[in-house]
Amino acid sequence: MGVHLTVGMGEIQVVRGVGNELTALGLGSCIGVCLYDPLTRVAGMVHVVLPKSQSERTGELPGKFADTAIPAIVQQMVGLGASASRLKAAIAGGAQLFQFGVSNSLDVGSRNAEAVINALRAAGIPLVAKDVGGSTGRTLRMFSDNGLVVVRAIGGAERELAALGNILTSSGVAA
Amino acid sequence: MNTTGTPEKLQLLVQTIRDLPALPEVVVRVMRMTEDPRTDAQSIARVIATDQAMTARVLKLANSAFYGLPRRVGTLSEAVVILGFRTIKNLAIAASTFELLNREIAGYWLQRGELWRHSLACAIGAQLIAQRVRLPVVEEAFVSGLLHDIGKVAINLFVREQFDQIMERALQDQIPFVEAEQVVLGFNHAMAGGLIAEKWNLPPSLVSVIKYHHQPSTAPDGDLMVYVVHLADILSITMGIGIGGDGLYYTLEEGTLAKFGLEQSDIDELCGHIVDRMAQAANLQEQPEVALR
Repeated sequence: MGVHLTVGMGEIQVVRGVGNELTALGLGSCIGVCLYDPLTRVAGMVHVVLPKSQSERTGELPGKFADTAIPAIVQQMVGLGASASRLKAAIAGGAQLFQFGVSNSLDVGSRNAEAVINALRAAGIPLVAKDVGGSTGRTLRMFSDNGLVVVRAIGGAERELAALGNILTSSGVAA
Repeated sequence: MNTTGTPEKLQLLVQTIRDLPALPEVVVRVMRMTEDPRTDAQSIARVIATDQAMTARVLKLANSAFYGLPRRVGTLSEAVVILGFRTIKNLAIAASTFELLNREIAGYWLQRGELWRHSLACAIGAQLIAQRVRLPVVEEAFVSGLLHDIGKVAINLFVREQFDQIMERALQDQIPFVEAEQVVLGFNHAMAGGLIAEKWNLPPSLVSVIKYHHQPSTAPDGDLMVYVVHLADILSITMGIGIGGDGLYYTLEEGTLAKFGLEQSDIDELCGHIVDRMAQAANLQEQPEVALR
C-alpha cells in the first residue's frame, strides 16, 4: 500500500517503493523539484519558495530555499537507500506576474528557477525536463513506481513532463 | 472601453449580494462598540457572551499557544482585556466570514478552502508589511487583507459562465484579469467586494481597501493601507497561495515598493515570513483565530 503525500511550501517528502504519489499544489513562483532513483525506486519532491537562504536562522525548513533544499533532499533520499549518482531531476513552477509592458519588479519566479538549476548542477544531478515561467499556477505530481512526472496548469489538462525511471531518458539536456 | 456587461447583469449582481448572509448581529455590535471610547471590556464581554460559538472562539484564542500566557483565561472579560478591543473585533469579523471565504469558488477554479488560504496569506502579509513600514494600524491590516477578495464569492457564477472570454480578453488586450472582468462582465471582484462591505456596514476605510486593492493609486484618500493590502495580495498571488485559473495575470502597481522603501531582499524576507506563518496556521488546523494576534 503506497502513500499519497502533499508537499507543502518549504517541505521535503521522500518515499521508497511502489504505489506512492507525491504532489505539490498551486506552484506560483515556487519550484517543485522531483528527484528519482530508478533502481531503488526512491522518489523525492521539494517545494522551493525562495532562491537563497537569507540568514543563519536555525529551525528554518531546509526545503524553503534552493541552495539548502537540494543538498537536504539528496541526503534524505540517500538515507532511504538511493544513490546520489543515479538521481535524475524534473522541475516545474517559477511563474511570474504577467508582463503588461512594464518591467517586473517581482522576479522571484525566474530567480528561483535559476537558483534551482544551479543547485542541481552543483550536485551533479541531470535535469531531464522543466516546465518553468509563464503566469499560470501549476500542480505537479510524481509516481514512485516509475518516476513518471506530470504537470497541470490550474484550469488546464494534465500532461507528462518526464519519465525519470526510463533509463533511456536523456541526461541534462533541459538545463 | 468596450463593455459587454449589461444593466440586467448588474441587477443580478446586486441581487446576488443582497442574498449573501448578513454579518451576525453580535459582530456588528462589537464593531460599533470598539469605535466608542467609552466602551469597557465588561460591556464587550457581555455582548459576545450572547453568542456561544463566538464566546468559545475568543476563549480558545486567549488560551492558545500564540499568547503563551502563564495561566488559563477563564472569563470573557479577562480575554477582552488581554487581547485588546481591536483583536476581539477582528476575531469576530474573521470568525463570521470564514464560512463564506471557505467555499468552493468554481468560477476561478478555486477548490473549497483555497480562497480562505489566499485570504489568510494576504491578511498575514498585510500585517507583516504594516509592521515592517511602521503603520500604526496593524490589526486593521489583518482584517483588510482577510476580506480583500470577498467580492469573488459574489461574482463567482458570472465568472464561471465567461471565464474563457475574460482570459481571452486579458491576453488580447494585455490587461490584468481584474480589468478584463470589468470589460466582459461590466463589473469586477474588487467593486463587488466594496458593495458587500457596504452592505455589511464595514468602516469606510475597509470598503475603500477592498474596492481599490488592485489599483491603490485610484483610491480617493491616498490611504496607505490600500497599498499594504495590494502588495500583500500580489505577494500571495506570486507565491501561488490559493490562486486559481486567473493565475498570475495581475500586476503590481508601479511605485508600490518605492512608496515603502522596500527592496528585493525585503520582499524575499516578507515572502519567507508569510510562508512560516502559514505553516503555523496549518498546524493549528487553519482556525481563523490562530493568525490573529
